[in-house]
Amino acid sequence: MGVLRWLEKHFEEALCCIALSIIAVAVISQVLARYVFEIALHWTEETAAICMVWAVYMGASLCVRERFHIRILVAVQSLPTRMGRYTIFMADLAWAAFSILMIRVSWDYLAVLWKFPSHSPSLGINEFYPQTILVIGYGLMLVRLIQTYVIWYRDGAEGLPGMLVEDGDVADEEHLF
Amino acid sequence: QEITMNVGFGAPEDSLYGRFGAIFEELTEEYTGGTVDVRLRCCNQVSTEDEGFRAMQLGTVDGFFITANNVSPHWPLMDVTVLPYIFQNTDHLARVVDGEVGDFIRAQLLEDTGVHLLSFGPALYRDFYNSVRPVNTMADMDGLKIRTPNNAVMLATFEAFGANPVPLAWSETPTALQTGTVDGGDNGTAFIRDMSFYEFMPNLVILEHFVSMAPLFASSTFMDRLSDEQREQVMRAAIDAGNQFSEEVRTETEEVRQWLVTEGGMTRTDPDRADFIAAAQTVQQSVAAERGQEFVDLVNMINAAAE
Amino acid sequence: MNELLLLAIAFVVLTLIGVPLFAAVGLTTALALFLIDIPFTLLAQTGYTSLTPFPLLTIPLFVLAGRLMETGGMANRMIGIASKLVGAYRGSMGLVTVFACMLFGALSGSGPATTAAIGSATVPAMKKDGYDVPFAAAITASAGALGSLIPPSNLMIIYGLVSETSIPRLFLAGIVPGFIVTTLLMMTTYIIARRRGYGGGGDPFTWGPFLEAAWEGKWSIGAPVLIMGGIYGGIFTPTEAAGVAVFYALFVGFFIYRELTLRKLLEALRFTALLTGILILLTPTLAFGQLTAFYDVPAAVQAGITSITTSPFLVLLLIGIFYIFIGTFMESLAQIVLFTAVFLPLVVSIGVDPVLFGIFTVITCEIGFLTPPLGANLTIASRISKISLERISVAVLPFIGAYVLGMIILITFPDLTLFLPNWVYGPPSVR
Ligand code: NA
Ligand code: NA
Repeated sequence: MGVLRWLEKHFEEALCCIALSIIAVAVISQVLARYVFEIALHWTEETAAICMVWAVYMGASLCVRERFHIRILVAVQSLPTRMGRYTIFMADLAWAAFSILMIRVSWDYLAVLWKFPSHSPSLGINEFYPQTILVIGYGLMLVRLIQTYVIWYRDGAEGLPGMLVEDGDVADEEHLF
Repeated sequence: QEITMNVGFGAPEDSLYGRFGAIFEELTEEYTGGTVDVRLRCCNQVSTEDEGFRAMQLGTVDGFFITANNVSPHWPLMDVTVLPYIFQNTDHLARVVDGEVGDFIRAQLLEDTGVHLLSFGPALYRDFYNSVRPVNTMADMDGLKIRTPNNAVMLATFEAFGANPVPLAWSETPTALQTGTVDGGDNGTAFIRDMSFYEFMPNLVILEHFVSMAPLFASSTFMDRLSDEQREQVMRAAIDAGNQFSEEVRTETEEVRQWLVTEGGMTRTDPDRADFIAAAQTVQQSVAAERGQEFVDLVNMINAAAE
Repeated sequence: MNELLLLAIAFVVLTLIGVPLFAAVGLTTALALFLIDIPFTLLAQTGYTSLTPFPLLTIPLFVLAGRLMETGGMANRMIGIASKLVGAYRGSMGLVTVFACMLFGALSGSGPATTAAIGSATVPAMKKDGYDVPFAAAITASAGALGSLIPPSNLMIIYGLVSETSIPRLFLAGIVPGFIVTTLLMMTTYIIARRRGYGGGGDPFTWGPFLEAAWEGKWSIGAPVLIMGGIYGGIFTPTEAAGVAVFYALFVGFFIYRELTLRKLLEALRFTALLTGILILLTPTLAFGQLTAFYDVPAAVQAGITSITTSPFLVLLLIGIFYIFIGTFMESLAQIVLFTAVFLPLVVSIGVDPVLFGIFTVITCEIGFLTPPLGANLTIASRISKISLERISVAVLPFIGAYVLGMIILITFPDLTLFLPNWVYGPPSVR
């Protein structure tokens, strides 16, 4: 049970942090190998690229859980509570619809990758496998979105679902680029 | 009813691909009596070159100009055209693409990937350049850090030449050359001028080691939308455009090289190729052995066309 | 054109009812695909491939490096140097903040990260000096944006990627505009502080303490030297520089200043993970960018604008106004990816250097960092200073004015931006 609970809390975060660490190590190895040992590493660029995509999708799922995605809530918050709640229902429904659409089209896309396999130039791995992250990522995001509603309902269905209500400064978090 | 054909490519509008595309557009609209409307989409606008092949399999793009080595991940047999010194001269190349070998490649590609090859396009030689020294013999290649596309055959070739190949994405290449992260690279002659590489790469080396083909492909989704008559017209337009443009390019390559020397200030060397060809043959053999019988057969077919 | 209007309405409605931006762009793209009968699988393909270009790695890496430099003590050394240099004047802590942001900008690739790193130390200090809190927050937000203008810069790397412009040229081009904007921000700070009588608490400038602080901060100053030196010395590419920055920050934080701990490292990774997740926004944005080509938007925009004017100054001014408007609610990366493809061919056709357009684009993005409702620097400054977004939004107006003035100076005198890269690399090639 403990393991499951930990995974529920930290699964995406852990995978994302691991992917980010691999990216950093791959990039620095490329520099060191070229400059210090005068050899060219063939695997670093592809490895880093795959990890980047996985890190983004895992991070995106983490962002659903942590209410970190960029969304504009000024309009919703200026509405009366009931109206605002219905509006956010609609918004989340649209979001869920997009996730379902993405799972569906990613499935079709992966089917094409499976039918016409291609292999990455330096690692030689079948492109199908890393790209399964599309279905996994949008699947996780959908699950996390439903989870926020379950928690919201369990906690008395007050305020707006999927919002941080503890401090006044809601949802609109820092996004650093 | 007018059918739109969106044709993408990764280079600017006035590049070789763009000019090839313009001829294809004109001929297609002429042959089909305006029932097929070709729209050229330059500069990676609709898809990057790396993704163009897949985009045709998905049917999101109707046609694309793709350098042969970028097709290899999707269809490994394409690597035969990437092999160093696989074509002995321009006539040999013409016999291959216009003859039964060309037909075989078209049919096999369609069967394996669902993508049509409309025209092999002009043969562009990749010319080699570097910032360290003029290359007169193969020994001069020793230890040079050479940018190559991420293609196993190209890497193996430069290793066989004695250089130190560094696979780099094209997006990183101009910067890496400019700052000296790598010592040199090879590209179609016109690219060396268009990308201003002559500004910081003083040595131009005419090796003609790789033929860089930029064939025009089309998606099955698009071809299936056409009537039998239109399909024949489009294919004829592509082949005629390819021939017409090859003629233009042949005279131009030498002009560009002259320009690079006179205006661009590069030092040109034309090394004796015997050593390079010998090294290339070991690469051809080892690659063929690695890739299996189908690959060996195709190499043999190409060699047979030389006689 | 009716189809485009329909798409615009769909996007605005979805955004206003609170659909997360990436899903709003995604749904709009799906509608656009539907209207011209292109398979939806385009969304899946770009869903993966738009995240694979190597230079994109700089975004998480520079964010991670910035966080490690902040918690590892490098940011504090920067503030120390700045306060010894400009600490004695009116509005000293404000000037220190601007100056420290400029220094930190030279080792961070990100404007919002710079705001967080410097502001979390200087905002409390300004409060203690009796500054009006919104003013203090506004200084931090606006000076932090320098992180994207002074090289290295994530925004320039992304611009270089989509426009195929030389990234080393862009970096060099950012230096002079960076100084100009820094000066404008310091003047704005000084004028307001003087009018309100905020104290110059620090000691007058003398060499001794300054050199002492500079020596104490030598490892922090070393970072920009290492990063820029490495790029221009040909040791690593600008992308790889971000990886070097991470390991440099780890090295200094663990072994020199000894302020980093394993816990802080994990915290920094987790923080980066959240920000990496937001990058999913790039995937539908890139798909939509491809579609604008199918809809012939760039050609239409080009025809539309050149029918009004072909003066480079006026065209850039028009685009600037549009960018500032778009930047109020659009994320900077999405703005660059989406609109560079639309406007670059136009400005190049009337003789604007792509490098200048890059710096211009970055400055408009920085203004976007400072305008509500979606202004990354504002939200960070509001969290650091614990006051509402609305109050900072008002206080930041004079500083936005400084940026707009800077933008106008740069498009009036293109050579200010271009002479440095052209001097180092020679005049730009005619493509
Ligand atoms: Na910076
Ligand atoms: Na904004």
